Amino acid sequence: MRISTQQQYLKSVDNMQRTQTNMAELQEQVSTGKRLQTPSDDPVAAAQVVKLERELAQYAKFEDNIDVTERRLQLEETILDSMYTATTRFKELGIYAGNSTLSAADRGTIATEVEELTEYMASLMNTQDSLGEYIFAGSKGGTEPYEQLGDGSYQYNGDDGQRQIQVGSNLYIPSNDSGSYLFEAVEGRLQVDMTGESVAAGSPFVTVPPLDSAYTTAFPSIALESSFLEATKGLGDLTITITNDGTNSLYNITDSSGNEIVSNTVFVDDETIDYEGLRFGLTALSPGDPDTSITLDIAPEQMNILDVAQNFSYALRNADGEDLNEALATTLDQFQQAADRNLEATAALGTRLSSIEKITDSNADFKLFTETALSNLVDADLAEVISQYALEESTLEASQALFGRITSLSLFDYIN
Amino acid sequence: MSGYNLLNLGTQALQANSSALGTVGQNISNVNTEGYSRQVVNLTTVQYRSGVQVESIDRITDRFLTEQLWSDVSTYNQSLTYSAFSSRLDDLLATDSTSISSGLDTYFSALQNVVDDPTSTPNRELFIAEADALVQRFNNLDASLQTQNEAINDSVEDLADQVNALTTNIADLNYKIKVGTAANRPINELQDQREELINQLSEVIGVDAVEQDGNQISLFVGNGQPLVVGGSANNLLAVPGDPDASQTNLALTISNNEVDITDQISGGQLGGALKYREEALNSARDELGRVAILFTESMNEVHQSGIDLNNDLGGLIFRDVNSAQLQRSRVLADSDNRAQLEDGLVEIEDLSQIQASEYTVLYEGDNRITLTRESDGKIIRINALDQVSDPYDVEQGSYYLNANSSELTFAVDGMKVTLNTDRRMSIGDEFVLQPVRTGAEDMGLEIQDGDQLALASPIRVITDTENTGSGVAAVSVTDFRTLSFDTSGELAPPLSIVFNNADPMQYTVYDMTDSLNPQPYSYDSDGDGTPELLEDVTYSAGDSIQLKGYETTITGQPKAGDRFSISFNEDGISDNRNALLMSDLQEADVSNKGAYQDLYGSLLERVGTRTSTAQINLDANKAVLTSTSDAKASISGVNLDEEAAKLVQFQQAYQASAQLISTSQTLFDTLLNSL
Repeated sequence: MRISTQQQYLKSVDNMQRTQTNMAELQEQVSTGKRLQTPSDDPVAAAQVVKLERELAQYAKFEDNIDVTERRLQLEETILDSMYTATTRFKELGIYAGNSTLSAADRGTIATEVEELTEYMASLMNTQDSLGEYIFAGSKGGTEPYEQLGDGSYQYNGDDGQRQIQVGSNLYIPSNDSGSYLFEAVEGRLQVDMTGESVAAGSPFVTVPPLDSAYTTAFPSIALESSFLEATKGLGDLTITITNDGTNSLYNITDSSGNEIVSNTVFVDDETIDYEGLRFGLTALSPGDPDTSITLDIAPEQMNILDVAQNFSYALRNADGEDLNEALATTLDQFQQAADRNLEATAALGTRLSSIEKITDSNADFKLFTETALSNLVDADLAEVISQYALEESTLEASQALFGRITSLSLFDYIN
Repeated sequence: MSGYNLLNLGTQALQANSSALGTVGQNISNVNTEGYSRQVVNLTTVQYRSGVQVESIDRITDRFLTEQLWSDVSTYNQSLTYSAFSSRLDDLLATDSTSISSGLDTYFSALQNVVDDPTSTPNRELFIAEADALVQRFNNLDASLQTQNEAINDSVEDLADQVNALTTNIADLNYKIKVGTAANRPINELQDQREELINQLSEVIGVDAVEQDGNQISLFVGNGQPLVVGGSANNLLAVPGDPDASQTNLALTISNNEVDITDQISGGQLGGALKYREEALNSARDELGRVAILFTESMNEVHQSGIDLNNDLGGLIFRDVNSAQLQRSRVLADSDNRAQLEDGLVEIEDLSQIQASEYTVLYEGDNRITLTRESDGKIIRINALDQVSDPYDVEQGSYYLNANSSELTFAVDGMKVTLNTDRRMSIGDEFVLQPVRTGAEDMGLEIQDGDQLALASPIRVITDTENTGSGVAAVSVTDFRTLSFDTSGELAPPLSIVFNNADPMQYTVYDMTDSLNPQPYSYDSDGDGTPELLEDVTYSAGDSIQLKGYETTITGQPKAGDRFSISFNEDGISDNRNALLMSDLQEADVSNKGAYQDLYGSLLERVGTRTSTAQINLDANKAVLTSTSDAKASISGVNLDEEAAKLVQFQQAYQASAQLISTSQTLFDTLLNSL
């Protein structure tokens, strides 16, 4: 084949340029340590890198979230611990106050301590974090959860919201507990809530306690409350319906799914009716009046530990003898309920903190795994790159040497 | 033999060899001239021993190889241009500072901060700053893509000018060659020049060369559009695209008619630039725009389902993708249409189905309308969808066309398209839809104040403290547009769910507007159009109860008398439920192709694959071109050693010829002296 002179030069230059391009690429890999410079170097890896880097960014964020959550939970744990100590002191005082040798003045001193402890507890329950957020107010972090009303009792103004924080790719941990769960844990006396058309109109036909009764509550005693609860267990809301059959007023009681539990019974105005210990009166209907009904939701009143403590100090200052003993027994039982909820919550916190520990470890493992995968995709194998570079280098040297030889050959040199 | 004859022979040989030496000289001088074909002198014997003469001076060339070279040059230049543009895009996407994915990581990290501490004002402000930075990233990356588009427009204009300059010269040479041949003048150099010009033209645009009348070369592009015919050249014009004027097209002026030949051009730098625009750039903008639209719309949707620090429902974080202005900007009408577009809208309706593509709507007559999805060429027959009688009833997979064929509404691929024209649509009327092309460019930040970040859920569900069962209730907003709050920030109506003691367990939803006299609540929970009383509904754990704009899900085992009350989440500033929903979007499959970053990853993958394929094509085409040009050089190129040998050869012949003259003189002198 003929070779044109121009071709000889162009070919040599072309080869040297190609080698130099390869060397520049390898040099870039060596100096950055990265195999993947642009997506075109390995398109599939480029897409995977996006995914892996997203995961790494998330793991970094999970670590932050874990720190935040741990801090909040530890603060809660510390406060619950102080609350437990205070509750224990209440119980000690309750037992001590039962000592029959104590004078009224001695009980007054105990009452003073109880009142101070109550204030201390209230301040704990209104704890704010460094940003001024009330930590026991549920979702209403800007609202003081325990507000003292004019009568001295404490009202809960928060809700039962819980803030979930993501600490792992599929794990959310609640970073707070609301006061309604932690502190509204004490069951008081049974309370009757009535709803119905006549209730809304302001003239309920059910009267609790009954009109002619000396009782102050629908349940004359705690024993009757227990027997009522036992008898109505699982029935749900009760509905009392009154009718008039033309001559008499009748009432019946149905359970929450409409089963009749007291069949139609004649009654007269102001008669005290007793249903399993629940005492109430009914207003009779005139003939022709439409049937009407009222639904009763009867459940123990939920009290907070501050209310219990205040009842305690009230009893210390105002009661004696049998009344005092009964009050103290109730109080001790209620403090025990509060202490139980405290322990339950503390145990739950412990579980959360230990899952955080576990997730921290597994996050670290995943992170390492992801980093390794990323490195395999992105990082250059330096040994390989450098040996490739050496190869390209010797190719270039050879091309250059050859160019010198070829171009020095010319027939013109031999013509005289 | 006479001495005179010898003199004559010597003179002829002297002239012939001198001419041969001249040709060697010409070859040596043009050793580095582009497009030069070496020449050889064709010597023939003159009859009756009367010497030698120059029969012709021939170009050594091979027509087949020359044409092959033009074709290879145009293919090579197409892949060179394509690869150059593609590498720039590849580089652009490779840098971390432009990466949408790392921008999203930063954005979601800032979002996690507000999830952790929704009451913190600095966290809220930081999040807004990061949202703004992300918007900038989208805008900037799109601006870079538009810059490429403008670069292509500019180069199309420049290259069209170059084509015109070259074709004018080629036509001129055709004429000169015709005249030269007729006058029997040497035309070797003119032919070389013409071949070289066509070679240069092939670098710009792929042409078919046809030899006519023995010495004329006519050039055609595309499907036989004449660029040069004999001595005349047609003008190539850069014109604004129709209907998309942002992209410059090419038109050929044939007898005063402009014919758009953009789609027909292949080969050369023009072919490379146009192919890149068509195949890579527009689709990259579509893909980026789709990510932007998916992100904007899904974030806005969730954000608007929450409430802010002022107890107001959330507004837009980012600019609404369905504003009237943006909906209109997505429709372009061909200027040749007979029915003029009065109003055209493209609404983004179903995010999961939105495609990264341009579409063409073509009216084919008799209410036959086709929609072509340009990304994969899929053709959808609009008139084969379900027809509805009211444009408001159009949903995905149905269409409406009025009796006059001037109002068309259809919904496919997650978009809803409305085209209103001033008269009945005519055969051939064409509309181009670009649902996502400018998505990244149009992205903007709406929210300004950290307080307006809606991180809390508007609804709280409270588990009654007296509950004895283990039921747990959660609410989530299903459609913020139907959520109802009266002026005082109350949920209308507040509800309470109460369980009874039936077996299996039932519940009743009460309207608590009058808390002393709750009434069972009626709502169209199953969506059949008629409300049903939500009374004594059988409970099964985990069922969702559909309510007005939200749903409640109760799990666990409630007991008779247990109640859950649902109300407005007033002052729920510590609530992060809505922020969590926003943050969960990072992993959510917002489209049928995965999450935001998966889509961005596939954009990278596609651009990367295109670029590396372009590089492979370039290498292959270069190898082909090298081999063809080697073959051509091997035939037509000058070899200096060869010329040196010829120089010696003809020099000696010349000296010998001179000797003939000298001998003839000596003979003549001898003759004179002997007289």
